[in-house]
Amino acid sequence: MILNSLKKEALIILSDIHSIGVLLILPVAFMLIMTFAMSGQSQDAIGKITVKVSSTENHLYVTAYQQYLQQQGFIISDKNNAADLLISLPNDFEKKILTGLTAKSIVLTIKETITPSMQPMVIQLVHGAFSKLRLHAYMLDIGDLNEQAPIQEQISEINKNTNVEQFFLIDKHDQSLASATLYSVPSWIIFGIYFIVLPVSITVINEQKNGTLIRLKTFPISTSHYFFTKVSAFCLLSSIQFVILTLIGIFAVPVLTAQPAITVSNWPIYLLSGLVIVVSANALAFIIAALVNSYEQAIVLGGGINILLAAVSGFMVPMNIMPEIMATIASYSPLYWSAEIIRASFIGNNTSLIYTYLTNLLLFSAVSFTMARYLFVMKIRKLMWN
Amino acid sequence: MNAIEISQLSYKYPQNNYYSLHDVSLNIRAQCCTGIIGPNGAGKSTFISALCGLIPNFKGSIVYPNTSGKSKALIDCVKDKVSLVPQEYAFYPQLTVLQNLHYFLSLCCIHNSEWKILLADILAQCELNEVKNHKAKNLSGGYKRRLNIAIALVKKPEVLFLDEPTVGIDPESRAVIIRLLESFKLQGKTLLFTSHMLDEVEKICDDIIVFRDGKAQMNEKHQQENILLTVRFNQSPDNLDFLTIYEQSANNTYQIVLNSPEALAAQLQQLTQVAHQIININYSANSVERIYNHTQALK
Repeated sequence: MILNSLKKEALIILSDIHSIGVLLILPVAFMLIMTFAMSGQSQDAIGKITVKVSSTENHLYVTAYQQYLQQQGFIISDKNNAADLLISLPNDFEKKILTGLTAKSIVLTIKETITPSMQPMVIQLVHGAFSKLRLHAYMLDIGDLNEQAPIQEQISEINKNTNVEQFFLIDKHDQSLASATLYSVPSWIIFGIYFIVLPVSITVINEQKNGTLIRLKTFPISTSHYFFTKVSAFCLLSSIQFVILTLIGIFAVPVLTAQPAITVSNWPIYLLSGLVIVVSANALAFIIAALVNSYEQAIVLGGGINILLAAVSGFMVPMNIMPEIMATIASYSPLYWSAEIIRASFIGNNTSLIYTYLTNLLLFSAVSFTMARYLFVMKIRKLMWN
Repeated sequence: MNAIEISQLSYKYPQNNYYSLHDVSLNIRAQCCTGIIGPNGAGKSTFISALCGLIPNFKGSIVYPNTSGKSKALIDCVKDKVSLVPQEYAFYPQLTVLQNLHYFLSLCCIHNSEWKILLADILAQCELNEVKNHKAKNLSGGYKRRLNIAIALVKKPEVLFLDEPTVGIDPESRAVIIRLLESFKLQGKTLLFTSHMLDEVEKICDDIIVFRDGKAQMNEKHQQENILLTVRFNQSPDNLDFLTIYEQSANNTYQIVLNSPEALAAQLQQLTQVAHQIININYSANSVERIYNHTQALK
């Protein structure tokens, strides 16, 4: 019976171009668009920011500061109008740099061309360049730096002394550098998986409208049995969707967006996680399907809830720039747990987080399926043929 | 032998303040074809729903004498033996005829080894072989009706309920469905079907249930075979107590139902005793249409 149900549901979904669009084309399109859109973030974006250092004097330190800023990735300009960021140094900067600077004496003017999300990083980099400049001044003052040496040589010496990378071992997978792909692929895989709500709801509504649901009441199969057969069929379809989206996310998206590739660090855990995610997505989908009675309701409630959950789960706006209250809400969303599990499976350094969120999802699925089954049985019981 | 025994069956939809079925008591004979006629909203479909167990909270009783498991809901008791052909097309339009039949067959407790023979038999009976690989949504109205019936047959039901199985189709397809219903009768199935086509009801049915305002009147076959005598007097006669008046219409015309030619002869003799002049007299076989019209005229 299950095989025939699977075949039936598969044929119905495959014959419906809209369902395929929702399950495969939509998430793949989102993966590509969002990865591509985010690929210009961080370091690439810094390289497009123009900085003007404004000073009443033309001293060695102004030149050195410009060079340190340039090393951080900024473009140095000598025109105020062309600059995205204007750094105004106080008078007698040369004399004040070590001990004479008062609070807030250096003014940063940030133009709106630097997005709010970029501003904290830009300020950090400006501070970093200034720290090097003060070290430069200090070393000159105590004679550790040859005053007679060319400026480039002095800067190289400072860079050598401030290069601390060698002291750190960063315990992370190489692919964590692929931030755009690593952010987009898990998010939009999960978005696609949870969009099973639409095909499930529309299938149930179709069965209700065309009379097959009430006809099935007269067949020797209980409503609960039919419910679980249908759930199994859709879970299998979602699993296939999960595998397809994963393969596209790993192999096609990085190539098409010219981004670093990502790999799954532990396939057994990844596949187990996929299964749990698929089950929880279907649990949510069947609750909605049992509640709606028309296509309009399915689209508004099913599609709407999915988009809302995605919005508060850090899919559209990264969690790290969300207000705390929203980030807290997101941390209770099954979509967020699902996306974090996938992300952690790619990075491969946080197995305990995976197990915690898998447990959350299993509990969510158990509660949701119990509720969905009850609502489904009630819905069928109320159906009348007239 | 009765297939279904119905006693004081009443049902009111929650949203209505009137009874859709009101105190219906009758028996459905096994291996007979029973037609259910009546105007829209008279209670025909509700009656079939109740018999199939699709209405859980009715008043009265519905008993399938050969069914056990009284503690269970009616629908659970009768699922294995009754099949329903709804008026709407109740199948998956995206699937082919064969895929639809396969799916519904998979829900029944029938061993896989029987499937091939059963499917071949159903396709042949319903004359669906030539379209078995066509998607249901692309079929003509007639084929859709036949598929609707074919799906009901996969359960190998003893009792088959059909709600207006010939509505909205061409005469050729209608003839196929009528042949199909006649073949079910020959196979010994109990058939109940609703229809507005009184000629087809007359042709196929053994018994007729006429519905009006939720009330039902059973007319068995022998009643349809009665003789209908129509007499018109020049003025209203004083005493017609000796006649079984079936219906009195305007201009002093009376219809009298008689159950044998002997009764007809006796009645004609008595009519000659009536003082008033008889203007016109004729007789004919009683018809479903007349039964229908008579029932609808009763208030």
